[in-house]
Amino acid sequence: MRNKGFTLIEIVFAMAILAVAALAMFAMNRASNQNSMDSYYEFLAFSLAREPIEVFRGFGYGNLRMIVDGNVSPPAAYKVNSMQDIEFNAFSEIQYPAEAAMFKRMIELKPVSHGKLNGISIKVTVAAKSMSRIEVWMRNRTVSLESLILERPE
Amino acid sequence: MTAARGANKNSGIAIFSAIFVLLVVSLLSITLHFYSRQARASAFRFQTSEVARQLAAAAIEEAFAHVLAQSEKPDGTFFRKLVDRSADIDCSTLDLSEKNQRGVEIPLELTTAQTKKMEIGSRFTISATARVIDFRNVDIAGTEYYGREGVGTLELRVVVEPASAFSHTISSACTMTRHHDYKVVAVVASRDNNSQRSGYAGSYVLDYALFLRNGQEEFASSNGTSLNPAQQRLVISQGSTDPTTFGKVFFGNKPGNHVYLNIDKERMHFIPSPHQKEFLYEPADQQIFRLLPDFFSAVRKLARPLFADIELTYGNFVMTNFAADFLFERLPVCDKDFTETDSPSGIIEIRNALRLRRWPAASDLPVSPENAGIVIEPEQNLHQILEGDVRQRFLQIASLFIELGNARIFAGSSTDTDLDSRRIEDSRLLEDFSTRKFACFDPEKFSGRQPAGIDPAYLHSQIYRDTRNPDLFSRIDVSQPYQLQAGQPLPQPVFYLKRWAGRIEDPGLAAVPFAHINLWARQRISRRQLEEFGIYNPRLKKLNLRGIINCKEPIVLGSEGDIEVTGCGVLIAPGIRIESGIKKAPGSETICVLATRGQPIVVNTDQRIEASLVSMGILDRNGHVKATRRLNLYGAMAVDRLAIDKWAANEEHHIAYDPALKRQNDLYQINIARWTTFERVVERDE
Repeated sequence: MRNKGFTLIEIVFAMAILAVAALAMFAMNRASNQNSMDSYYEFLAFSLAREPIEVFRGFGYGNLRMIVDGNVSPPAAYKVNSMQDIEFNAFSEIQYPAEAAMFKRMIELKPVSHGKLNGISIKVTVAAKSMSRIEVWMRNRTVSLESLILERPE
Repeated sequence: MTAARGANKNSGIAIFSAIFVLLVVSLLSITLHFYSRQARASAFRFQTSEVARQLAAAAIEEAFAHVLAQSEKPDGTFFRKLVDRSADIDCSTLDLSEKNQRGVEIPLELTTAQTKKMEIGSRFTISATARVIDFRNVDIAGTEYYGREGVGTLELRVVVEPASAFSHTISSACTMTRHHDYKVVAVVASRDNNSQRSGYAGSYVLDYALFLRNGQEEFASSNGTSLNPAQQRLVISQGSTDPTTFGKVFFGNKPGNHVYLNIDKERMHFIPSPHQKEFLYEPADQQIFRLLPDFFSAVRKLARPLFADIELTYGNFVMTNFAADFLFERLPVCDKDFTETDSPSGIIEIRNALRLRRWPAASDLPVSPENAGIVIEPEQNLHQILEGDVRQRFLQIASLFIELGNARIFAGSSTDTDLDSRRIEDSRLLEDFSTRKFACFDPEKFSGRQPAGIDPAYLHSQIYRDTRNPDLFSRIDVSQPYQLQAGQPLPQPVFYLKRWAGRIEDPGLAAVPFAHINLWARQRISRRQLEEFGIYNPRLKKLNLRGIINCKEPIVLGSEGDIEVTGCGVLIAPGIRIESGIKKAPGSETICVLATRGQPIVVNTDQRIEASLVSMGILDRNGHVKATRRLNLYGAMAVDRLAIDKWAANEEHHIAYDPALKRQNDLYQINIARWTTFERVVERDE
């Protein structure tokens, strides 16, 4: 009577606990993985959004204004007011990570002014291409970054 | 018992194993989750930091644009704070630890408006401040600049930090600091017309409607013709009726040396009376014979056949029924009457002689037409306009006038009795000498050729001996100061070197204007850069001046038509040619100074030029303006030499002084450099 083994109930109970715990672990792992990938792609998206802002800041207000007015075309990689795929090309002048090719980008320029102070508001929206794996991982399908480029009075 | 004890030991091992595995897996999962959350937080921090940095970048650009715009407004609060270095903005004298405690808030309307539209950006607050962290009001030699002039460093600081409501969820922040050099320069320095300057001011020549630095030298080397042009008329007037805003006129005389101006007929009131002929002395008939040797010779020649046996002398002749007077009057030398008298040869000689300071050895110079010379208006304020020792030059003309129409001349063998005298009748001779006017000159002072007819030696030795009146002789009057109120000396201007505080009375030694190149906003830029920087756009015909701009190439202004000028500043170039008019933009204070360092400024237009022309050399001291057409200048002119003989002839040139140049307060300009001399970005991410 004292030589007791595992009862079936015990085993089932243990497996149930284990299963619940494992499921929780799986869920947590999946969430962690999601977070990591989301963070990575969001970081990448923000970097892609920051890039044209820095480039256009380098242009200065005068040149940018000519682009806004349609007098000058922007560089091919920075078309404005249209969603543009980001191309991955190992031989291009501007190098992006391979995953950047799964994004598309829209640059919007809008003149703003206050009194005699003139500026151009620049908004860059970076979105995941449809049917790309980024859509699976990024919680926010788009990220956007805005800044101002201002005229320096003479 | 032993078997049962062993069975008891194995009991529950499965559950413990499961729990152990579960613990390990949990630990790994938690670790993974921790790192994933970390990555997620890092991505969020990156995002917020990037937003904060972009906001800071935009804000500091807006702050700089705002500061630049405000620095253009001399009546603005920020402008005054910067010029006066008020206590709330000036940290230049504070210790490092205290520098951040001051600063003027800079509004950021555009950035703030954009921030409110952004999801993450709206969680931030943005502020910008400006402060002066360094200011030098002395040059490299330790000499103080004028007034509030100087070179400083302006610090702009933008702080982007989470709003208080989000300070627990957002830890990103960004502080961006930039330094820009700036210069404060007085485009026009205040000047009280009743006193002299006490030190060097770059714009000192703008006190004057006409400033000739080497006027004395030019006057002497040209025998006075430089200030008494024969073919040009220069009218210097004032743009205001308020004497406190009058532009001075200085002809560049050294102390103790005079410069002379001729006077025309319209300015008779400058000349002491008599303006009409005044009787001086009535000579006797014998004196007439001796004063007029030609007349006496003719008379004696007529008498010789009648008295062939005696040698006729003065005592053998008597003249009655004649009229003779020594007359005296004071007249302007720019008077056409002098060329239209009955003794043209003599008067022309006088006139030509008077064009020079000393009597000439030859008198073949061209005669000045009427309305030539320099005229300064308004005349009643001349004592408030002129500086230096300027003297008026007019003619004191003395002449012997004889009327012989009814004269009767007798000749005899003796003067004791007229019983044997016989009348000499020759109406032609009397007509020749009748109503004649003979100019009288002092032979001891008049080295040139004497006017025909009169014996100056007798005039001097006999008539002058009797009268002792110097007005008996024609002469140039050089003793009358060019002013209305006698006895009131005109002020002698005082000048300075830019690095020497001592007074200089010789204008030839004075420093050139705008000599402190440290205060120049731009140096040695090209013509192309003038366009690039928006200073001069020939196509738009706009000239925008702020501060002192130095171009390294000669420039042509107005080749496309009249120019509109805005702002307050000085454009210095190695040669300037003006092809069209220059107009100040309406509605704003505008000061335009076009300057060269001795290279000529050529004005090829008769359109109104609302600018000041400054041509003064550093070494050669030969700066001048050349007006190829009628000059119509509204501003001021400062040159080394007037060189008016190079101006268009037979024209009335006009300089009207712009009263905006005579101020009771200094007119400063601030030039903030676009270049960033220092930048620091601190991103708080903790």
